Amino acid sequence: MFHPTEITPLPIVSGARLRFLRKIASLEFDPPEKFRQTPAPFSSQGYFIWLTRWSPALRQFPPRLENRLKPGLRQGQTPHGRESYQPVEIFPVFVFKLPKKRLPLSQFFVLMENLFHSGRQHFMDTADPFSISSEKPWFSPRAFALVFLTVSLLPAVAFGQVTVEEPRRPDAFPRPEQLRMLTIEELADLTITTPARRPEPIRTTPSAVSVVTAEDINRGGAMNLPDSLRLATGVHVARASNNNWAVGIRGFNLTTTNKLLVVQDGRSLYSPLFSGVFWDVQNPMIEDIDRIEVVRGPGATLWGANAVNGIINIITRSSEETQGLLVSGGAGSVERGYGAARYGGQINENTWYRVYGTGWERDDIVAIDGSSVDDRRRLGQGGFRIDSRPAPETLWTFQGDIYDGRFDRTGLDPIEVSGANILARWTYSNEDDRSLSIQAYYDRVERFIPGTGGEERDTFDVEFQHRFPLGERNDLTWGGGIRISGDDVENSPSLAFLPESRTVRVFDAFIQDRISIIPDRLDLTIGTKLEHNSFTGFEFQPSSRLAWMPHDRHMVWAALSRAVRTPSRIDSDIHTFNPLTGDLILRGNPDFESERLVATELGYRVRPATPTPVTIDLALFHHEYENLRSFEGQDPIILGNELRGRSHGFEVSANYQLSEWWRVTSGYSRLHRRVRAEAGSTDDPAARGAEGNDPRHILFIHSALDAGDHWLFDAVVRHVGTLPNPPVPSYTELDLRLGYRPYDSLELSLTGRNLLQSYQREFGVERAVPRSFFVRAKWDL
Amino acid sequence: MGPLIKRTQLRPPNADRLRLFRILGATTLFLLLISTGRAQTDQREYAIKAAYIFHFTQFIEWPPEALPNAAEPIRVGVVRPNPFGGLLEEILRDQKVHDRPIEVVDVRTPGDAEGCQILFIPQASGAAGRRLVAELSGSPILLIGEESEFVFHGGMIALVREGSRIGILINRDTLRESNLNASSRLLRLARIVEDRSDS
Repeated sequence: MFHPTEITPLPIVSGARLRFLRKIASLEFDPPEKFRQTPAPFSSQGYFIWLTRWSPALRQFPPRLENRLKPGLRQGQTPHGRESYQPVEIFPVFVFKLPKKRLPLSQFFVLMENLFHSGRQHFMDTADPFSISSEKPWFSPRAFALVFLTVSLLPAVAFGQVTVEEPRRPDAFPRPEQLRMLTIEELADLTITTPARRPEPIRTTPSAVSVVTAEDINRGGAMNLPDSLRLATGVHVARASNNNWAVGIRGFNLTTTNKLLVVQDGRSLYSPLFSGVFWDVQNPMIEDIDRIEVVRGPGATLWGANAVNGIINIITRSSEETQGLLVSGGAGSVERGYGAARYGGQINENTWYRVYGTGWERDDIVAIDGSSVDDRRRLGQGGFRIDSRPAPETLWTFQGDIYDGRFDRTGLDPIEVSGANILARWTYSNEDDRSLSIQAYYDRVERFIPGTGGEERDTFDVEFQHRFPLGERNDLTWGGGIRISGDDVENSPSLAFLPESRTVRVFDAFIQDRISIIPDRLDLTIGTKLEHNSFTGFEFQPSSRLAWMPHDRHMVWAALSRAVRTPSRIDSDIHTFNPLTGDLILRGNPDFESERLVATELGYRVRPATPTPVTIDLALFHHEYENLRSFEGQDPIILGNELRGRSHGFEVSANYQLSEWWRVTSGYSRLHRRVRAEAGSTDDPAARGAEGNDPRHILFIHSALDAGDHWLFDAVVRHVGTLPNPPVPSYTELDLRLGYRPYDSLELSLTGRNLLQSYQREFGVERAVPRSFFVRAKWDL
Repeated sequence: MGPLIKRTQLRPPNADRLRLFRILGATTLFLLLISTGRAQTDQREYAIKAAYIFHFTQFIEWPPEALPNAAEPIRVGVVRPNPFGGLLEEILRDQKVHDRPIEVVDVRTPGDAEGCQILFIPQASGAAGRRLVAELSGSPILLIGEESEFVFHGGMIALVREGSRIGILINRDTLRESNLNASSRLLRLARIVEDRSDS
């Protein structure tokens, strides 16, 4: 391959530095005193050294680097007297002090374990685990050392570059010298117009974000949204039953998990009935999903209440990009039939549309002993989308869907669901950082569960967002909206929502300012959202995020935010009865307060220079929860807010482009969570598995291999840790997919999921997910 | 599949509807706050096309007779009228391909084009451009155009505008006839076309 750069890499200089490299490689060392420049808290753990890379190009030293390297060094002169070389890259490596023996990679995880035990020790030792003790920080120095260990084990990471390179404004169209640094795939993605609400390029977002692309979803063999989310770092996806999933981020995962906001194309998918998402009726056509963005951590300022632990944003392709006919179909061992068809066309030069229909019937759940059950699901959905661009700066979008489905239940009548939605959005943007968008949608859902109840819900939502620069350094975004959601619930002798009908109104306004403290190097984003809802009145959700970009390829960010989970119908209106005696067992609390979170996060994102294309994203977090939902009293149990929680952990995502035809994506997340009852509460959170069944760690590795021009081979390894209560053992599973593309327009694939066990329990005590095979053909004209 | 169940009629309270309309009315006022500015779409389009040309220098392999002298630069010819306005020169400045620098030349006649490895024929060159393509077919020069018809009339690559993006169309037969080889990474990204039987 051609290498069109003029910097020819030279080997690292010989001598003392080379000896150091050798020592690092064997993990035995005896560092000479003169390189010990490590700050005091870390010096017991190791030390820093600086590695430099030299280049034959003659360039000017920037003043700061010149002083740092060797005082008195002149242009053209190197520390070794060779005339024509100059340092172009300097990077710090932290050499971690380990016992004098070789360290196998498995010990790395033991080290991580120790880190968190030392943190947990703090909880165990002190009388009140929530007291702040100054002499024993719960985040030990080892934690910081391990953060640097991650950095130092990376292959050649460039820290500073001598070339005078004007930094780029994060969302501006790249300048020519930056354009040529993009890969050809990124070039294909650039648009010549800037639609508003286009998310910031991921590498400049000061939060923990991962993106599951359409390619990942297709090649990972995912046929529904929850399975697609298994390919995102830090998302715990567990199948609980025929039509129930527990999808959570950073803990508190239940089938009714309420700390996650899920949005599709601007439309909120979460139900005010229980502040959660009915995943069984979220079925966009898989082939038309552009990407799923997963933000871990609170995003309440921009997204609103209930974006407590994370936001999942599902974005479908615009109809411009889905032109022509696409037909897709398949069948398998659990997939009794799947079919989808979409046709996209053009109304005039600036208006595109598409219509689609999809339907499937699945029987993909078994009992926990592996025996088959009569839980079959079927659903049909259709919809349309129109995108119109009457002027280069204006974009109209209309979209709508309608669906109808039925989920069988063993021994009971099936659940019936149906719904429809329609959305309109108008966006105006004439420059990169100036835009206005207004959106309105209507969403209707109906669900009928024979024997338990039913719900009909209508939601209206109108919102707007305006973004503009203010002076040279401020990038202001503000907006507001209203959402009105009214329902009619049908109650049953055992479960009732009283009153039977309620309309929840939420008004919100937000403002956010991204301030360039040092242009393109240091950014501070501060903002707040103010919401008024029918349950708790005003809620205030401020956040601040600091982003430091020492170089175009690195970013360090820190965030402090507050988020709120507002009550839903289940918190204030629920009543459960003993069906035989009519006694009230549990009821909601009309004075239920919002759950609150204060989150501290720290993150680091790096995209090293070629020829080692690796992207690493690391995020550390510490969450403090208050007013968590608790069960108070007996006969009846009344819901309260008497639990507190604390969680901490980290998430690492890594993408490796190992060669032109082989790419590996992986994600690892670690969580430690503790919930405790306040004084005066009668709740016992540990005994009842309060508020979530979470694994300590989740890992996935997705290897995407192109064998020749026509064959695609993908393997996904997934590991989820033990769930405590109700207990589910940890598991490792494997999905394999073989794809064949004889021509560009046709793809045939054979997918095997959950191959390692014949059935796998993921959540709960009733159902398990079986091993399955699926054959699919996709024809895209 | 179950029937659509109708339970109760939809009845949003009047107070809510009124509030809704009031807010809708208020938001329309914000349309007045917008200042207009010039769209920069043209510049961007050619910046992306120039960057594509840069990538093509890496993803296309020329036969040895097209690159006779190791010291000779790679030449990218642009047929008049040049739509890049200096963008191509800026993107290719100081870049090297296989230790050769890259040069941009202005092309009017087939003679000018002979020393080039890549030739860009803008849409505005019209009939002259088409004649050039006809004369140069078979020689190991990568012919890049801007309209989808280009790849059916002897051209090899067309950079066409697809909605708001720039897409790549490649005619593999024409490439093969000129002994040029495209990397699979480029082929995967592009839309491959075949020679039409009636072309």
